Amino acid sequence: MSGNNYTVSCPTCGKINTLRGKSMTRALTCQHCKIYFRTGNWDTSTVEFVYEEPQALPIGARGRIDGFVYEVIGFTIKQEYKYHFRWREYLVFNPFRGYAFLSEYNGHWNFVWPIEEDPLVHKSDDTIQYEGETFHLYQMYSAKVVHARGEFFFDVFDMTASTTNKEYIAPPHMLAQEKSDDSILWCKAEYFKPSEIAEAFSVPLSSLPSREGIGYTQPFQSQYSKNALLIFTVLIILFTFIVHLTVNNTASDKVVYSGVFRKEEMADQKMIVTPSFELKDGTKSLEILISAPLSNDWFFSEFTLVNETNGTEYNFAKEIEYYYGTEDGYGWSEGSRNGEAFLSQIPEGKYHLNIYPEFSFTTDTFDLTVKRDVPMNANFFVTLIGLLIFPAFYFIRHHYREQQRWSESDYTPYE
Amino acid sequence: MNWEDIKGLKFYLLYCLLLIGFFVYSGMTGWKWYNDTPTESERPATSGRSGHIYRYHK
Repeated sequence: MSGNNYTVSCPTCGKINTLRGKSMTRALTCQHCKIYFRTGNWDTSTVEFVYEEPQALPIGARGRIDGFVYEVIGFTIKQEYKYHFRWREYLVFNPFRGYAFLSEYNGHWNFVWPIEEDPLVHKSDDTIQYEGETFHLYQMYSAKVVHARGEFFFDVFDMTASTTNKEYIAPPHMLAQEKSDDSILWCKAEYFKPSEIAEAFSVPLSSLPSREGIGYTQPFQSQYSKNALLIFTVLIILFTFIVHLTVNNTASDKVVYSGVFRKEEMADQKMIVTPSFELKDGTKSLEILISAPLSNDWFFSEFTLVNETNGTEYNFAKEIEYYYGTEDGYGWSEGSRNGEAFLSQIPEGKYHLNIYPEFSFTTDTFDLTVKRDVPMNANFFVTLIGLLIFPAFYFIRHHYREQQRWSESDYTPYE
Repeated sequence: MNWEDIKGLKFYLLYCLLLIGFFVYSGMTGWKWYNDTPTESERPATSGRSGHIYRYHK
């Protein structure tokens, strides 16, 4: 290796290479013969890469990330030893910000930059608390460089081979640790969409690899946070519960008619006509409570609620039955001696009931109570279901996507 | 929860308000959405809208 004015000659082909990184460049691939070599005399060996893949961002490409213009200096393809998956890393440089990386795997991009702090200070159980976020261990691996182009501020080939890596995620962020025998480098990363990379480097989106699956730092796309939806859902349910109590408490639950009827009083009549009763306060519900002293028996009746003002009739029927006994020494019963019929939205006015009872053999009496504007609970539970549909769908989808995210990890919490 | 979250949840918020509004209206007018008492109403001919109306689960 020889050269000056930020040029070096290739130890293999002897041709001159001009260095973009000037004196900072420690290793590079020859622009002519592609051989990898170091710029100093500390290691004069060279590496020839056989494996090759298309490079989405060319050496020298410039892009604005977080307000700073970075230039692509180097490009590597790394391969993990255990599962042999490969990913691509672009070394980018800004004179004021220093170096950083753009890492791409399955079309998912991360902008990775070194940090000074040691996040492990807060480590517990493979999690790290850092800058208000909880990072979970996602993967631990060793890798090698299988392809390189451009320049590097360190010996990327040897450094990659001699380090073990741990990556902790808190989408869209990641903390990555590169540990060798004598050094630890911590980096923080943030997920970038391909469209953001394409826009930053002014390259067509179609020239970037298509996204496959879910990136391990890819955030769950929504315009609100999971916690915000959770808090909002709890608040809205509390609010609905208060509204429900208020509506039920304002229900008058007023008895507008009650009577006791006996079979013998009917003589040969098939129908009982109740005295008139007044329903007030607009349109409200009406509940008819029926009770009979049933003993292994049933009672059935048809009813007609007649609006004496306009002649509208509401026909309904109700049957109650109650049976009991003992079997194998144990008592049993089924049914009830009481029942109720519910009529929705009955307008105010003067009404009476026509009752067509059918007595069985042993029952010859029944009680009837008519209540106006009764409290209801069923609508509340239906409303709750309606309110919870969207959050339930969201959280199920979120869970499914998290499962997908962790499917390639040895440390998945979803097993 | 911040303003951006609330903006993101605006359609869900609107849906919740409509549902709760409907719930309140139903409660105030005694409308039980799932009523297990089948009811048949009949209006007199003089009202101009005579005939049977079956209002199951009214």
